[in-house]
Amino acid sequence: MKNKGLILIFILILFPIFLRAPASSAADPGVTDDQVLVGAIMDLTGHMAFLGKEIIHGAELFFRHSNEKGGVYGRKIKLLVEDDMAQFPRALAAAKKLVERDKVFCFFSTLGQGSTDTIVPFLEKEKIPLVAPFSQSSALIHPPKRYIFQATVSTELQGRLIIDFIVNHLKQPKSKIGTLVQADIYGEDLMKGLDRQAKKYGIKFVAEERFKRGAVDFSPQLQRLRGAGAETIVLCTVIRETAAVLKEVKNMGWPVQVIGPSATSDPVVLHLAGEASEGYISMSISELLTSDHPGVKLYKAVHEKYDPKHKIGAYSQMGFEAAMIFVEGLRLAGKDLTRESLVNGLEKMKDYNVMGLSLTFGPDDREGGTSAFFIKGSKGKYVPMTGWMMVTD
Amino acid sequence: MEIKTDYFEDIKIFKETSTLIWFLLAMGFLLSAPLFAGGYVVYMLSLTAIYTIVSLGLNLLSGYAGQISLGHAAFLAIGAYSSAYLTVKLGLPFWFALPASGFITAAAGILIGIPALRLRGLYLAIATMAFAFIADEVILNWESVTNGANGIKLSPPSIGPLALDTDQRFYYFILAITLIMLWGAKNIIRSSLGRAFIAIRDSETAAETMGVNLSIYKTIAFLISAFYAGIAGSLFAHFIKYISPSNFTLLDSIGFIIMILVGGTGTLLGSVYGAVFITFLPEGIRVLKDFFPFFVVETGLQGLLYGLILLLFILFEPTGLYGRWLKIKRYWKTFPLK
Amino acid sequence: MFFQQLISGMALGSIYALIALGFVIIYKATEVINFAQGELMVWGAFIALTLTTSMGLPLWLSFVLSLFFMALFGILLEVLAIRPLVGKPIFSIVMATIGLSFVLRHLAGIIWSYDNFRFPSIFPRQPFSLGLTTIASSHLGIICTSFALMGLLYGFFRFTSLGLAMRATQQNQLGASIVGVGVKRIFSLTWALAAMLGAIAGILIAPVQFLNVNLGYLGLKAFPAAVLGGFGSIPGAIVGGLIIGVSENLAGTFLATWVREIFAYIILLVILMIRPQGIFGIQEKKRV
Repeated sequence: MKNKGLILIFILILFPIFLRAPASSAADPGVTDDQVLVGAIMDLTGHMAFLGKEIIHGAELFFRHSNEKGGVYGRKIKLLVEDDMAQFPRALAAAKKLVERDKVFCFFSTLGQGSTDTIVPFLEKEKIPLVAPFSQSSALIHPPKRYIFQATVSTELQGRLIIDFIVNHLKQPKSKIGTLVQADIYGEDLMKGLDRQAKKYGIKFVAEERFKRGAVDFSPQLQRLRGAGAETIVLCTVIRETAAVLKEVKNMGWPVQVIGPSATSDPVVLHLAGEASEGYISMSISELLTSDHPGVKLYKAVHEKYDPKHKIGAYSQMGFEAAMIFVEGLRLAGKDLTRESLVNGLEKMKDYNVMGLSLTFGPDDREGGTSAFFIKGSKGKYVPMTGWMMVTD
Repeated sequence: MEIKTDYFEDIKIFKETSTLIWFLLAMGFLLSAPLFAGGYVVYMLSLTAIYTIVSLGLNLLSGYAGQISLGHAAFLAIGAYSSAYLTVKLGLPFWFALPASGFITAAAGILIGIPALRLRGLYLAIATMAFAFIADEVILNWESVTNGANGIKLSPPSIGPLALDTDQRFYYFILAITLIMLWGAKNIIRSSLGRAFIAIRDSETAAETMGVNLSIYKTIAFLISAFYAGIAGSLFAHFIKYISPSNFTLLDSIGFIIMILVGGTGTLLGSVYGAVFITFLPEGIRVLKDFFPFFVVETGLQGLLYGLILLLFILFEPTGLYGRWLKIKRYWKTFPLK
Repeated sequence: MFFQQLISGMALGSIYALIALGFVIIYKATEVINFAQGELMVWGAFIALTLTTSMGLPLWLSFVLSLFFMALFGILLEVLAIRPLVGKPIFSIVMATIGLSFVLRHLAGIIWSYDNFRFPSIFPRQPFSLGLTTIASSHLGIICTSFALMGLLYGFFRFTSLGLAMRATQQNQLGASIVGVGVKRIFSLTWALAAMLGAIAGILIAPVQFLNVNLGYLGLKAFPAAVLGGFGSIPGAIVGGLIIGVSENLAGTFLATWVREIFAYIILLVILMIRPQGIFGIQEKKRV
């Protein structure tokens, strides 16, 4: 009957939430002799879903590879992924669920500065480590938080490196530079780095434009940049906006040099922009998929072995790399695995190089990576332009 | 069963004893929840309570007074940001910021209500939607107050010597506030104000001819509704402890409408049901995933479900969950006569 | 710079106009507000893309077939989801079509994923030189195609018997059915037409902005366009769309960038305040 059915469905959906999971007796939850339970909170259905799914895909590939080789000290990694739908209250709910009901040992990767920022206070309070959040926000590591290990290069640092690159590598210290950044923390972070380094060289930007995330038309901003006489544009964008900017620049018939941060190093950008991508320079924080680096070779091999039908890509490579860093952290933690031992182990990581990026942590250092290199779009593919460089102070 | 013979029966708070019993049972459950359920459940219940307040306000405006508001998330945002600004930037105490946010948002409500007086039905809906977009953009760009896209981080609030720093304490506080707001809404409904609202909803012209001053009552409806959203916004900000413009989008406004539609427009209990529904549905899916692994959430299932639920409820269950509950009650009452 | 912005604004405005058109003809015939018009646009574009890439059909054939599919899809939607709504209060209709837009958007996401896709353009890539300024050929192409389409529509409504039947239904359903117009059939055909318009809009805009399921949000701009032009007025929808498109662009260029996002809505609010019936609309009378 309609009424009874409805009540039944309602109870069925709500009831499991109220069941209390059985109490665990381990010293630290999520760790047994043969398994480590790890939680991840990703955007799987919201506006960054394409990133989230790819990253998890790459990570799970490596975990599978590591598990099949016997795991770390005999422990296999089981990854529990929750969807936060790009909404922060959901991210916090997911974090609480993973900690309370699933009793995860620690967190591996979260997506997005907003979601990450929302759960960090909770994790800090519960003393649960978070390794490799996919947020390049510099606020995450300055000041450093004991339990949060950012295993990438912060956006602010990238901004500084871009200016270094223009001055020292392109040898264009007098170039008229204009900026076009996303109107949020990501963009502001990059501007912080750009400003800091620009001041060092006495550079002033000819124009500073912003756009709202999700925008598809950049002609007003680009027109103004052109009007201000910009010869180089520094972008702070992700994938779609970069391609849109490149196409618009080409439509305008404007031979300006466009440079972007590591988030634009995914070849999808070149694919979307088509011919307009020729000459675009991006920063990269991991070796290109065309390189001979052992990490890249491993990624391709594992990919071929377990999921040959899936297309390899920069974001799944990032997930793979993050997983490698995490597993190394588990190894450094020692056989007696506790949350504190994981923190101590990670602090011992020095110059760990998986995909070209050298990672180092320390007692007060949670930054991870401080170098990058530059790549250029050429005939629809990225080719390396420089070697790995560090920022000059 | 439903025949009333005098005025006082009509305005009784609990129309039947069964309602009172259900209410006491629910209160018992809610008050003791932190004892047997974990922090996750308490978190969800707190969130539900906050959304209930929003839902109540929206129902008063749209369900009772018939003024469609597609941009209610903007009011929530104003409440949240006011409270954040007052506590973080001006250092004012929480016990002041909470009601102050309510009043600030109510003022915004009047600002919206006055131009809205001239608009009906669809035009009002579109206008409120436009308002929501504009508010969203203003929040993003008014950096001196809102920190723009960075958002504002808040620390746990305290009322005098009592710090609301644990999930449990804040939960009880939110519960108390929610009950107060519920009580307020119930009293509004059973007063002449509530009757005026219903008259306006059912026919503005007829109400006008009966002496209901449309301008005043419509503005009051917006005022009260915004006040509720403001209170909820303040609680929301201090509960999640981090707000940014992406918490208050058109999607959220639509979510609120789904709350009152699914729960039951023009009913108070419906507001509660709707809030429960919206808060628990994604979590319910999440938990069900553990029991039924094939229930893959990774492919937009949630958004799809929202849309389907909206469509199906409007087509087949326009009185919402509350209406269904009434039918269930009637079924039991008239059993076995059907 | 002004001229370029004018042209690109007109191009975007033509798309708004097409969406608003689809929206207005549905409203005129059935009094249903179709919040899902933007999603029809997305579906049309995706179907065309699938036909081209997965089945390797030539571009023009995919477009024609996608129009055909969308027409059928429109009829299907009308019969299943919309017809039951006729007569319900306006709030319900609005929320129902909003629900429909969610369903369509996420169904598209499930079928085609939420990624961005490159969409083949029927217009040449080289910019078009006009004296001192260059304009994108795609912009010009969109404008010309849209105007041609509107001309066709005008001819359809004015000179064909089907168009006449539709206009009759829009003006007075009861009267139309008395003189023998199959009103229910007209409802379905109106949706078919609106879906086709949506598909064309999608095919025109997707090459410029990359196709992804959230493109449907563009459809929300149809409201300011329809209201500005006058709700229920077909020429109004067109004029409204163009004005919104152009002024958005100009506002973004000459005022602040962020104003551009909301300029359409500011116009909307202003119009609602000073002249709610829009440019071409008629003042409605209130009845008890």
